[in-house]
Amino acid sequence: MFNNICLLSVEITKYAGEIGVGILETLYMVIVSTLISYIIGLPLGILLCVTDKEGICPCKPFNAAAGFIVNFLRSVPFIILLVALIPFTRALIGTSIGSTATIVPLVISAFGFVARMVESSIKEVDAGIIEAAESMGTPTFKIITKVLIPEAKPSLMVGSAIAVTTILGYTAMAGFVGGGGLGSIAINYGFYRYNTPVMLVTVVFLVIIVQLFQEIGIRATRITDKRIK
Amino acid sequence: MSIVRIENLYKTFHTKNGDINALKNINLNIEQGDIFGIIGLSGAGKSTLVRCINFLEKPTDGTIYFEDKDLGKLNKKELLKVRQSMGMIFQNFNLLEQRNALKNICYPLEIAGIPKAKAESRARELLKIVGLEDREKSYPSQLSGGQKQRVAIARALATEPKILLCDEATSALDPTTTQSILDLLKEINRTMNVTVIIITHEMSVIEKICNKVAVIDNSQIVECGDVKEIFTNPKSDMAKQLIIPKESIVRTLKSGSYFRIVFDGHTTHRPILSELVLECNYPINLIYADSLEMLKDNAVGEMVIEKTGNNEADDKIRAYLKKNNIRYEEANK
Repeated sequence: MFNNICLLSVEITKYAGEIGVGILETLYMVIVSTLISYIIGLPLGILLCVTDKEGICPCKPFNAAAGFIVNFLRSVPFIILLVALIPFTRALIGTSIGSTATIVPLVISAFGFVARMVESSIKEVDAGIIEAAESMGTPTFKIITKVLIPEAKPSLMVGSAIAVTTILGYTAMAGFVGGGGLGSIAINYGFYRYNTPVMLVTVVFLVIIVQLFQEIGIRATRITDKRIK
Repeated sequence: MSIVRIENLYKTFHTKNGDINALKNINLNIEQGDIFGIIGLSGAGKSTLVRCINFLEKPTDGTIYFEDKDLGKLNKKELLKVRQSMGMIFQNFNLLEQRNALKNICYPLEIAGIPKAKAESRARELLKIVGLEDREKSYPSQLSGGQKQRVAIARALATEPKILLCDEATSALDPTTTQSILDLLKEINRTMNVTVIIITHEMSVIEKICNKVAVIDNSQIVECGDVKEIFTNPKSDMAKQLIIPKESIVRTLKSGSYFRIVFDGHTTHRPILSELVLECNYPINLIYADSLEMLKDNAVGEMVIEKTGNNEADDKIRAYLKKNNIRYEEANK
């Protein structure tokens, strides 16, 4: 038992530098991918909601087309997408390995998911509130910016915490194709070299990062949601 | 001057289960300064009707004139502008949950492009009018139902509308709060000269504040006119059902014969029952009496008395009522 613990600490100190870099790479991939996914997914999700036949600006062709693309991307398993997108990533970034290159498949896989999360958050806004805004002569675009987004904000924030966690899970998978970050370390040391201690440590760090993001998301929601007395 | 005029309005909803005619051949004329009530049972089409007035629902056929403008002929931008001169309040208040009371009232002013400082000072004025000047920082979740409706009224009035549409505005409130909200609406109508259009299923709301009423039944207007007129002399079945549900008290009595006497207000200050006793010189059995709300200082109500069983005395009662122009009905079981 004691020997095992000694072994563990020796291994960890030996790879501490690499694990540190891994953590930073993981955070980099997660944060940048989430941001870009939201830059695409937020407007797309809002459009999906408002162009719905029950929405404030129904547009069936757009809704059907956007819905199909989103569903298509979401139904392709991430690990397949990761490999399939290698040529595209190489053309875009210049390489298909490393954390920056991993952001490409991460975003492509996540923005559809983000769009659906946004769509469901926006749909939660009470139809009565939208009707009241219409009765006050609000143009469609202002209903989006002044009613839908502010009213759905707490739900959008919970959604973003979930999105971050999901994207974090994807980054670990990207380790299989040289994606960098904690996922790569876990796979390279734990899987290929049977170095269980290092793998355990990376998993522990992944768990900590997930908990951290989740907790920040929930707390931020609680502080900003005015429906809570 | 008529402010809202509805001509031959039809509204049909196309659903999977076939067409639903929500409104059929509606004609209404609402005058400037009216408190106009539209009453009917659930599903009669009254909510659709009020939404046609501000074009939240587009009529299938017919014309809506607001200040002599045909709303159907306006483009989207003009329509949005017109809506700013029509306030609307709802059964569920529909306040923005993430904005405090002050910011809720500022909302329509933001939409109208009023600068922030000016909007806030106007919002504070309105909060004072609705009696919530100390709650400007409260969020809707921290306010009671009545307070939320006051904020909603203030918000609806922010852009100085010409009319205020009230869609079952008091249906979610208790009787005391309902009374205070109705008093507020009356006050607003009087002091700000806002025409108020009230949709309700409760006759008591109409009695309390409206001067005109339209009774809507099965998508059509079955009766329309002065509240006092319709109240004392309802012609349609629906109006009778809404106004005199208390008749059921007479109906539930298994036996006996009764007079149902309707007071339309012109005898408010006369001791009618005592005079009846003196007139026919016979003891009278009072079964039921109810004085409804005051309509312009006249107590309006009804009374059910048992027939005396003495023909001579009953004839004297009839003669007295006729002489004094008091409406009555007879019921024999």
